Amino acid sequence: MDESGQRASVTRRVRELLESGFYQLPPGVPAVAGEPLAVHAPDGAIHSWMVPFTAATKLVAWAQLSPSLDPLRFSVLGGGRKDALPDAADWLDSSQILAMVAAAAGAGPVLSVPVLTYDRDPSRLVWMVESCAPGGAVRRWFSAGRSVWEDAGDEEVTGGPPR
Amino acid sequence: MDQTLHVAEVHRLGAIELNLFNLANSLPGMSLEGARIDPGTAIYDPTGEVLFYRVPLRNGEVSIGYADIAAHTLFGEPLLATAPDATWDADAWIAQARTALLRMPTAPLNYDEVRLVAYSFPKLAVQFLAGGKEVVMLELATWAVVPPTDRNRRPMEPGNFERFSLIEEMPGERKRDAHARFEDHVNRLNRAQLPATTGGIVISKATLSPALGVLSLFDTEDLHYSTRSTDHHTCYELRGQETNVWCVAASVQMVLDFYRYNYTQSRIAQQLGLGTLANPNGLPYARDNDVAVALNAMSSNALTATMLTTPPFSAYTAEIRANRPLISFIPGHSRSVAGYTQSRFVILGGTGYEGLLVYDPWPPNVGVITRWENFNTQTYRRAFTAHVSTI
Repeated sequence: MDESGQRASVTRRVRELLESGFYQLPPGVPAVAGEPLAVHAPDGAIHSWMVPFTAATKLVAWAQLSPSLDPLRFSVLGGGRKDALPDAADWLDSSQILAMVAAAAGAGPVLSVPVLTYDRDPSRLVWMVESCAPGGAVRRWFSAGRSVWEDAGDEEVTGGPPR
Repeated sequence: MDQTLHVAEVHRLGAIELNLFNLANSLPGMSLEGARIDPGTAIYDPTGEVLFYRVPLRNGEVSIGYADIAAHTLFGEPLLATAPDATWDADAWIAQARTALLRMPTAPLNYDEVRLVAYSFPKLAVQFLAGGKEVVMLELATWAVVPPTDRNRRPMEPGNFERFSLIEEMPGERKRDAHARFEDHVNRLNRAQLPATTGGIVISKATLSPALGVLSLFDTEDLHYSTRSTDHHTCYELRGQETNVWCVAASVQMVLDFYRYNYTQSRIAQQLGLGTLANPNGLPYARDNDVAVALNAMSSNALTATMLTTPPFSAYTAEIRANRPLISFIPGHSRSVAGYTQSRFVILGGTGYEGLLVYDPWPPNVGVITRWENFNTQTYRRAFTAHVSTI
């Protein structure tokens, strides 16, 4: 199945899981499901699909499904508290993500297109952007909401090595 | 109980299981109310014994999927899989197989029987036989000829596109364990009685309602203020990690908060040696047990914390039933666990659904409540339990 076919399947599956009550959005927040986004493994393969749920300008929740459409997790941001919901643009607007990474990377480097992936574990969704300095040095940056940091590698540390 | 089941018993057990599914509404995306269970197709083991039945489910003329129901106790439970949205038409598959056979350059046409075979469970093939002996076996859909098995390989370890027999190759001890589980399961199912019907079995919530009081179908628990969950509210709070690497500190904070030991995340990070807000770091794997030590110390030893390695799902259910949160380490990340859900049913060919209610401090400064995290798709490194010392 091609990627657009997979997207359609993911959309249909998420709708079924919502209608069956398996996914539960926080009460009183009229969130709508967005387009499925591919979550890429470090080797570039599609690891899973993330479907964001937004209400106006806020990101309310996301569902993560395996390519075989098994529900992996359904996560409500900030526990569903309206005042804790992050701005959807910080997670879903690639120009906003690039602007945040550019601010962290400093002036000069050329930035790659953001790729949705994960840091250390598939539950830690991040956008990955590579910066390429004029001299050719490449650095990898992660962006999760308003937080941006440089990838410190895969040491055996829960949470991550010192930043 | 015999290891092999008569077809009528297979259908009776399958009907009870599917009615329980329907009653518990525990199969996401698949509504079974009003569905009719067709007789289905016998799927054979390569040895020639019936392994399971694939049973189409229809609501009127509309196909709503199919279910695989065991005909042998080696599976441990009667209901092997349900496939919503999939259709099963054995006659159509066999017709395609006949066409594929005719296209073969040296087509063996002298067959007198056609069977569906799980040539490498759960992979299926169409087997053509003459006088009870196989003349050719074609893999379903690809219609490639399935070669004979390599007898020199280790049992239960077939290569890709290699036939193997569950009945012959499953070790005796595993078969005995599965048989015992199957018997136990059937004994529980037998507490539910299906009404006598004519014209096929229909799945309906009305069918099993009288038995609801004695059957635990979908077990879900979360944390409350006390163990008196009937009159005490759900009681657990999410804390987002305050730096990109402080998931451990945030997880410890959530558990300590539950027991009313209120510390800032920075103070907990200091206790765990995780640096400061300006210069934070994570917890090296070699120091995992520091979490247990910190929980003890920061509660003045009122809490007794224990580290578990590769904890099974039962470790989480036992703690949650005792109204105690846990800290869960997965590769590179830490969260806390405040509930679980589990079904006895086998869904989509996997194990029964087991999910955790995860209070995840990720993403930084926000966190998420994940309801549910599929336990069977995640690696769990450690869990930390903590209980209050009482007199």
